[in-house]
Amino acid sequence: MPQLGQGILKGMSITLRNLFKNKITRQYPEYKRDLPDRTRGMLTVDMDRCIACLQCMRVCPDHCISIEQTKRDADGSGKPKPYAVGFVIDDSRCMYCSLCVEVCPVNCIYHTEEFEAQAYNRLELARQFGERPVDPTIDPRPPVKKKPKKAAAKGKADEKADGDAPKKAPAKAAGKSSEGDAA
Amino acid sequence: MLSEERRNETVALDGTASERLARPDIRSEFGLETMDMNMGPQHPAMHGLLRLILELDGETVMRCDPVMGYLHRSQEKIAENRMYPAVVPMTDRLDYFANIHNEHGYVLAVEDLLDAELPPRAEYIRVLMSELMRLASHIPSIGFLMLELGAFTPILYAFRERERIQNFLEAITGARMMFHYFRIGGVKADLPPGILEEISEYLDGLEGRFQTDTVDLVTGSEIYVARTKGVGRMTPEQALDIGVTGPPLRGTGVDFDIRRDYPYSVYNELDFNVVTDDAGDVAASYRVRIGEVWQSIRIIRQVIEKMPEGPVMADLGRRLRPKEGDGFGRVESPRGEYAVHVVSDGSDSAYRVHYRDPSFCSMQLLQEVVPGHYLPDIMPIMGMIDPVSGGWDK
Amino acid sequence: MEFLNFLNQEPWRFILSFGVVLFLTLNLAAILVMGERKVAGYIQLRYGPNRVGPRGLLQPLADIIKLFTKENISPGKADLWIFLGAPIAMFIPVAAVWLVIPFAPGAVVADLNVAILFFVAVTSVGALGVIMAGYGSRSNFSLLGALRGAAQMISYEVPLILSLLGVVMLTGSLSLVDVVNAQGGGFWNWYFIVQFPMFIVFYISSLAETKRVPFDLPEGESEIVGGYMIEYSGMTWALIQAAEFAGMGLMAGITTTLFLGGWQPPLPFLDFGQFNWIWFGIKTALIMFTFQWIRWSLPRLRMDQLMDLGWKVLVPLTLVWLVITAGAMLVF
Repeated sequence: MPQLGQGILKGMSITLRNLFKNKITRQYPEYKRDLPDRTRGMLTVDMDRCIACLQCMRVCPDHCISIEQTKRDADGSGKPKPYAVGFVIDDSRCMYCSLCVEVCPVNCIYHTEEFEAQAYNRLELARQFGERPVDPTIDPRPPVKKKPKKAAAKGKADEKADGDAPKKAPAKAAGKSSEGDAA
Repeated sequence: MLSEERRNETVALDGTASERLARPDIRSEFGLETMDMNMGPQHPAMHGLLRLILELDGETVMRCDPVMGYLHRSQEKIAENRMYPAVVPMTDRLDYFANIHNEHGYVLAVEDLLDAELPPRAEYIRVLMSELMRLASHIPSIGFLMLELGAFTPILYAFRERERIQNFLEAITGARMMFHYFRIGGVKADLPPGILEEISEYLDGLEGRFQTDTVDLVTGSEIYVARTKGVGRMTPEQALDIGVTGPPLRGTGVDFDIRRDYPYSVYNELDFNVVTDDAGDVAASYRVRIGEVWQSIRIIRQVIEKMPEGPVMADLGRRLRPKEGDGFGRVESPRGEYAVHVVSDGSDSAYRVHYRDPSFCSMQLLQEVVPGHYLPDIMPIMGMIDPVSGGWDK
Repeated sequence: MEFLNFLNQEPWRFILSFGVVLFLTLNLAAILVMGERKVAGYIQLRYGPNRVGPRGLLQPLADIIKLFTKENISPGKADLWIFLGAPIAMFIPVAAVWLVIPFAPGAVVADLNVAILFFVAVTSVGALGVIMAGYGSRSNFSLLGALRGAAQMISYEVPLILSLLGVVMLTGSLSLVDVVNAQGGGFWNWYFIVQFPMFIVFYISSLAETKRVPFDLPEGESEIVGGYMIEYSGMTWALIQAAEFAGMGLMAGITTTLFLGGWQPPLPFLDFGQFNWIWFGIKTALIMFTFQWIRWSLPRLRMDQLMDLGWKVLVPLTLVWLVITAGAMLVF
């Protein structure tokens, strides 16, 4: 009873002090914060540098990049090279994980500081970069066909515990398919 | 309606409960009935999407059945169909309030599979990030507890700190929430220049602000004490049986912390205490969280001091294809033990990935602990577990 | 202006002033909502509403337009008459009590000689509106909120009334005009000094009567999500909110009148004559600010703790202090 109310009064004095402190709200559309250098905003592509290696398309976990590839002699060397005539990034699927940026060998796909993407329709969020539009709704990479599971995989834990059971050679089947080099 | 046996069983869980319920003879004489009530899935205090089926006798809860699965995204199946590195950004979506710890658990599991040796700077950066994330999770979780008790202001003071910590995380990783910073074999990039000084400067200010705006504002308040003391009390045995980890477990007096007992990264080189409390109620878990905030600040200071130079990424080759076997990684996330089990069949993607999420496991205590409490006591008990929807539903 | 003199005759004076009071009450609610949001914002290191008009001052207007144009939804199984009657049953008592409060010397709509009794009787009708709202909307959450509201409002009537009695004993009158006149001559004559424990009890009880934090269990937005008003939308909801906020203003006004000297200036030389309503306004605004300050600082109590506080602390305290007051009046 003697101390009743002390804690409440202490808390209330703290809120009263904060009433007069400087406000920490930033009025967003008028005030825009400086974004750090590493900000991962919306992706953009420098099509002049793109060599259509399709690595970004393969590594993308959300399948948001679709590329239409042809052979074309773009630099006049007389030898046709892969060329991306269509390149679409579907921002409604992109999760800004930056895997495509890391995998790109010529640094042609990179993050901007742009982050204000809005549209009335999901398809409007698909941004086209190439000469020819690509349909963003088509899954650029069909679902990976899992190789048949080894029957041994089930009893693996037991094998490991025993130690003397022969180790199965790691399956190499997936190596042939072109599903991505991510490091 | 509960059967009579179940009702007696429910009442027996908490001795005080029997005083709060009408006696059986009164019940039958006046034909008293219980009321079924659905809380959630869209309910402001349900930490996301949780449905509680409650049976109420007046204000007293007699039965509490959590129904989960409203945010299920089949993360474990997705992890089986992706290559190892592409799973890391998906783990950010699990416990979206402490993403770094999810990444850490998964990355540790795959590194266990690969027997990777990490450069020391990468390990220190990981600990730095983990502890920053723990601050950014613990401080708002105290605010959430107060929000559920009806005080709206502490959560905004807490989010002020979280936003500032997120500014550092953004400067380091490039994103405010879905970081994707830990990679198998290290971290994505070295720290930006000057960030360590900024963090250490920030921590000086944080100590004062946390002391006044959270600890002083909340701890002494008589209403807060009345609402949390003795609420949601568990015995250590009960907590261990249910599988509770993290602050609620340490609040019951069980001295268990993965960082000390099963050290990962460089936690064994750092000096910190495991905070415990004996009461085992909501107030105890709150005190444990407060203590852990101070310990985290202490750890970050040591990390900044000891930060070695060197590379931040081990060379594991371009394509990750671990040998057959299984890997296991466990970390102490702000909510408890977060563990990942990865089974490899030697291919590019895992054969099976399992996440042990602390939110999911601690949630089981609702069924055990809530019956016998008043309806408003559910909220502080939820605040004690501090579950995250993305975590329990995966 | 001679031709307007008939306005000073009954019943015209009464009708006109009642219209003014009703208008003020509705406006007071709108302004208080605005004030509440601003105070909340500033305490929480935000700005509060600041987009509509200069510094957001036109926000109440925007709110009203929004609420008027919003569809009024009622649950399919609601008891419609009770459901729609509840907001009115909550608002009318609140507006009616303003009739007996003296704003300035001679400025009172009805100088009842039983004004305090009138206040006590009419405010207790407010609980009826809460029960109607909770019962009429046929929702478990509403029902729980209404039961809590009824229990709380009826329990806290007791300390509220008991704490008034000290003032009544000192004044020897039930008229609020007499109460204010008895407190003239400077702030040391105000009753909150000699009746300090009663002032605290009255303040706490009025927080409970207006269902403000830490006694906002009938709303309890973290467990029963708005309680008895959960199913209301549009104008019916706005009327409930108006009743709540006007009730808060009313309680502040009554506290001012009973314990803080009403329109009496704090020091004798600050007497502005007819303009003494300024003092009434300032004191009422201060009390309302403390209501809001508490609202944004404290968590809420639990039902059993609320009842404990009411019956085991406040009621005995008032009884003891009544005896002390009576003894002191005998001695001095």
